[in-house]
Amino acid sequence: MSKRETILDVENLRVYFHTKKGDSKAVDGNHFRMYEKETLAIVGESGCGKSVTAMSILGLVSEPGEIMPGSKILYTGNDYNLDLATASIDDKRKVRGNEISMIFQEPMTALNPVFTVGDQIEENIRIHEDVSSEECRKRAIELLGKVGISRPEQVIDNYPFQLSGGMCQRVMIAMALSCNPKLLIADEPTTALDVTIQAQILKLMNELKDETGTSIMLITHDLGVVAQVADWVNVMYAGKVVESADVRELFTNPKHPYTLGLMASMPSLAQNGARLNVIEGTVPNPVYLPEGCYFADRCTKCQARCLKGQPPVIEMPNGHTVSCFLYDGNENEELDEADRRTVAEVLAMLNKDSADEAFDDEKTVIIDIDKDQTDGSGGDR
Amino acid sequence: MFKYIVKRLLTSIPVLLIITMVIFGVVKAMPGDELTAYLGPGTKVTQEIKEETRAKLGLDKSVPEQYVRWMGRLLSGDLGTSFTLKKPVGEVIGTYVWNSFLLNIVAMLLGLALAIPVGIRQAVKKGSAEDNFWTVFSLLGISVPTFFFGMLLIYFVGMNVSWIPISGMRDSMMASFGYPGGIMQEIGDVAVHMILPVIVLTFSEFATFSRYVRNSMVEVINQDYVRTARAKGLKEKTVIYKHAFKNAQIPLVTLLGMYIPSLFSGATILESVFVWPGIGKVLIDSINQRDTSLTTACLVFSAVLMILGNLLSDVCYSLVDPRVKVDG
Repeated sequence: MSKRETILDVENLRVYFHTKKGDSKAVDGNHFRMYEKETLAIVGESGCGKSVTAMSILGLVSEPGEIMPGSKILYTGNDYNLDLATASIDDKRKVRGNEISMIFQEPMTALNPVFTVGDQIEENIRIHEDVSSEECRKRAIELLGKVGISRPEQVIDNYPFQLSGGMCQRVMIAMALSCNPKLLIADEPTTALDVTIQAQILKLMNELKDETGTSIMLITHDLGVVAQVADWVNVMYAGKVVESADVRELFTNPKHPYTLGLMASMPSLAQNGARLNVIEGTVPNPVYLPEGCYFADRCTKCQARCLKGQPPVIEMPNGHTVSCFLYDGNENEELDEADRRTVAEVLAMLNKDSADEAFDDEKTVIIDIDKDQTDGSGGDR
Repeated sequence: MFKYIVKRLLTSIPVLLIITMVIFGVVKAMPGDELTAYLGPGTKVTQEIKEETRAKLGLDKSVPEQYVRWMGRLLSGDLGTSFTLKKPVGEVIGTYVWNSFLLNIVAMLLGLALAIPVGIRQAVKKGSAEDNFWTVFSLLGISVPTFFFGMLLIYFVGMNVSWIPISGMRDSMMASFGYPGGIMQEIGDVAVHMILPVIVLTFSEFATFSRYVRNSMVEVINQDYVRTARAKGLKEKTVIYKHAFKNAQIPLVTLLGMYIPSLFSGATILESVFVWPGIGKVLIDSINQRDTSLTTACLVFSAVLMILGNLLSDVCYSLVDPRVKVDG
């Protein structure tokens, strides 16, 4: 493998939403690196902080969210050396849509309904480059052709409502690629599309990556998609990366109980008629995170020590990291009867607390829902 | 488009027919008729002559019969004669309508010019103290009746600031004897007379428009395409004023389309308060003096404008929203 050049270095990223009931820790100490010409997949279920991570890279986290001090999002592509966590809005604007661009989950709503497709693509080019309007239009048509739209000369004057969802997503991709970005963030780009279109879009993204050398950060909850396009995978849970590995490594040798659970809950054609596995329970409320491992209450391999503190990050061969007590070298004894009771009691207490408080004040509940919508983490609607 | 407009106009004929019936019926239901009002109390005209004149004017016929005769004249373009102003009704409307228009267009433009930036600011800073302030301010504007606010202004401003006239459209001396300073002086004179009524009207129009702007902006400001616009690296101003506001305009245009014709029909009560010689004041005066032909004509005129307004707003809608197409 040739030398991998870092283009984005995220360290200790914390994004908190300040709510009435306290800080909601949407992302809490996320860290990862992105390399040139590679695809990083970020996997996790709803509300685990995938989208918020992506949004914070472009500085699109809106009130009451805040990228907490101490976070670092260092962009080093194209000889830049810019910490996006602390950069001024003008610096960020130069990067947005130009160096780093983004495609969103719902192509039909992500395009402005009252402007033509061409207007919207050309606008992106014109902000960042000084080109004439004919040149701009020519490039837009070219881009539309490149993303596999037939008759681009006509489609360019269409409004989004005249196109199908798949076409709209192609337009979004064309728009995102219009300034040859170093990094393309794709926030669940295929979730809103039907399966055949999904495959086409993924294929297209793969081709374009090879052709343009753009790195892709793919946010998804679909492990099938990950297997198709990713080079490296980060599994997130409750605002933290719990496992990070090369895609082959992850699929052949998953370590974290959460990853194992995700794999087990993928439907498979081989196991015909069997009941689908699920991970019991739900993601903890990010306002009331437990003291111990966040996954403890749903983990099938929970130990007594899992409830007492945060798991360490364990390094494994090939850059594979996992943050779980199971691999910390200490003896893993099954919980005995007494331990089990303690675990159950602690968990019941935790759940009761947060449930009680949630019912205390209905307003808070509403605000939390609002927050979920505005921060975009409600990714799997 | 043309076909659509023609079709809409044709379908509004029955609507208009019903409206004229209602108007005519209501006006005829008023106690007293033109003749008694014209002659006034203590008249020496004998009962006999009155009956004779009534028969001559057709006032002795039944209301439906009178309606048919009136309709017939209306269709031939004859709106009747105003006996109080001693002029054909058509001419009266043609003169006074422009006074109303002048007052209303200035107030509407001022109201819009203030309401758009304020409404957008409110939406951007939704829930802030500033937003709440403007909300209360515009609720006042909507709920305080214009005549009340107008009278307050007359009392507190007009009475204390000598150069602001409290009524009329022109200085009565110069209006009768001509303006020595020429056209510029006339314009200035009308402008100072407009100050108070325009303040009142602008306040109420600002209130309505700013509510609309705020609410439709709030609706679009959290849409995905606004986030997309930000992700492109656009300036926040462009994001708000171009991408968000273009979408928020859609309901606004509907409102404006309805509004434009009402510019001509006048602010009925306010014009009376400020003795502004517009259509609204003509209407009120004609009712008080039982000048029925003028009253009915004014009301029919308003009804026609209302129908045109609806049509206009539908047409405008299709101009701002590419998803809406009008066709026959």
